[in-house]
Amino acid sequence: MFKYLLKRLGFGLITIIGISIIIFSVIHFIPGDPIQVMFGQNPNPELMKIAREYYGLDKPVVTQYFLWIKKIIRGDFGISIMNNRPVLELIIPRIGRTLVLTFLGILISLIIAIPSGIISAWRHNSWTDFTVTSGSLILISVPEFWIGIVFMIVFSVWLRILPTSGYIPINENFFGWLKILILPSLTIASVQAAQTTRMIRANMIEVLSLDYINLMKASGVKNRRILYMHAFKNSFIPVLTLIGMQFGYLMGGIVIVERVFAYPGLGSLLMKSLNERDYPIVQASIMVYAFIFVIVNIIVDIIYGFLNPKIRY
Amino acid sequence: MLRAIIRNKKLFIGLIMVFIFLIIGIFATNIMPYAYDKSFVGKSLEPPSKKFLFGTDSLGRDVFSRVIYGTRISLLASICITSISLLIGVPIGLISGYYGGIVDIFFMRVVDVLFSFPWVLMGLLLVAIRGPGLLTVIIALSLIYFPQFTRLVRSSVLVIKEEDYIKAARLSGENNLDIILRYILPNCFAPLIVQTSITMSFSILGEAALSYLGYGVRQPMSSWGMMLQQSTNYLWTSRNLIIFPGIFIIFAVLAFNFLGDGLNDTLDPRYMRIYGK
Repeated sequence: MFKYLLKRLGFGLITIIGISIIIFSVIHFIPGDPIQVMFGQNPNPELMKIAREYYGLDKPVVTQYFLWIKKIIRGDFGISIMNNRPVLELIIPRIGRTLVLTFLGILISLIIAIPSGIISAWRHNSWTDFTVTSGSLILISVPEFWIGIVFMIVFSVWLRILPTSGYIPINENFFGWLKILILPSLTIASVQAAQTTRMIRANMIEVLSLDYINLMKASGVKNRRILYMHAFKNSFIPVLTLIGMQFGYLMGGIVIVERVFAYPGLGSLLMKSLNERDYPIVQASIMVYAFIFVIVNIIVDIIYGFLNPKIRY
Repeated sequence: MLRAIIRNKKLFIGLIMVFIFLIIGIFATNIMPYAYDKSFVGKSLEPPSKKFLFGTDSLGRDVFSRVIYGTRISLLASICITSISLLIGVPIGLISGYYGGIVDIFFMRVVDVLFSFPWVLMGLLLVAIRGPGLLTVIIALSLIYFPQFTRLVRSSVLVIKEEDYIKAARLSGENNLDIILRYILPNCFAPLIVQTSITMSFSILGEAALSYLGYGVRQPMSSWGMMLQQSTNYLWTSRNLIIFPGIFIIFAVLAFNFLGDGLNDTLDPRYMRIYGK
């Protein structure tokens, strides 16, 4: 178990280093003097001096990279070009909002996917199964942003029960905050649920055909008990891995959903900064995404290690 | 073989749908009643009518013509992305699997990092480096999709290279390149064809999403995703601007998903033994 954990941690570290090199090189691909380009719209000699110092552009490239990494470890992501504030200060509230959306999306998707996957597998080749499988195949063929827009038409324009976009802080109005979150998280959940349902169904069908399940059926154990206590437990391990693996895909989807609903999360900030050429924020937010991604995967690996005795010993 | 195709409904439907989309893409300029960038003055945001099948957009351009032309752009982009992924992914997978050792470890680490990188972020990173444009989208998505081909080919190679006939070929002094191209590559075809179909559907979705965000083709060109860019402004008025490009995306993705699923069943040797010949 210890060796396994160490290996996963090592892999996480390699991923972070790889991504940090890509992110770091962004600034070097800008043709000409990057600082000049960055401040093209509002040159400010004082800030330009700070930025030049921050990136240490006069030093050799390798030194620059290590200096930059050292600063990032200390939490120094530089100064935003557009509003002269430390990048970290601008990013932190956004991280929370994006994580709330992510968590709600995964939660709702599991609430939908677990029962439908199980029923579909249990009634394999029935009409219920056909409906679930074709429904999920269609759902994974629809772009997230289009689902979001259709939800807006249904819930905001026709039914007039939910707002289309915007944001209300949780401490101002809890129900307002919750209402804002419903459509974005439903949008994320719908695509995610389709994929998870397919996975759970495939695994359950395999587990249900194993000898020990037949033995239990023969010895008169109740169906519900077999399904939920035994079969589901064994088919959930691959699903967990799937959630870890798809987390990167999911985070990409959330960036788009934030744009659809004008939700002020990390993704919206990233795209706004990209359009304004505010490179320090772009670099920092992509770095934060990479961190979240790696940490989630390590957590999934740890849970996986505990659930799967083959790895524990 | 033909019997197997007709027998498998998904494969059959998928093939027909893909064929229809290819026809629309190839003959786009013949099908379009108007040019994709022709504005009709005073005819903006018209509802669907006989003259404008899908209505007009805010600049008075025919939505039907733009969707049809968008088919060409979106399919072309997806074909580029998929081909580049194949061209990068397959050779790396072959080399990595066949030679093993340090080469393998190095390539697999690179592939792992790219594989785990959220695809939208890869798009945004490349926009930061290159600026928006269709080429940026193609590069970004190729970088994201080629690792799947690499992994697939590598795992097939690892199995095949232990077969006796490969060992025999090696002992009889055939050179490595010959062995890889003549004996190993053909054995990877079945999973590769399935993966190509799946990657096509992912590419269509990816191009649509990045164009929707405004990082793909530039105005006045059209692609399905780009046509949806301003769609939230028309929630109350012109929903035809939202519905039609969306339906085209969904059907195109479905077509390749059906094809992929169907091929997966048909190319499975167990299936061929039952329905094949």
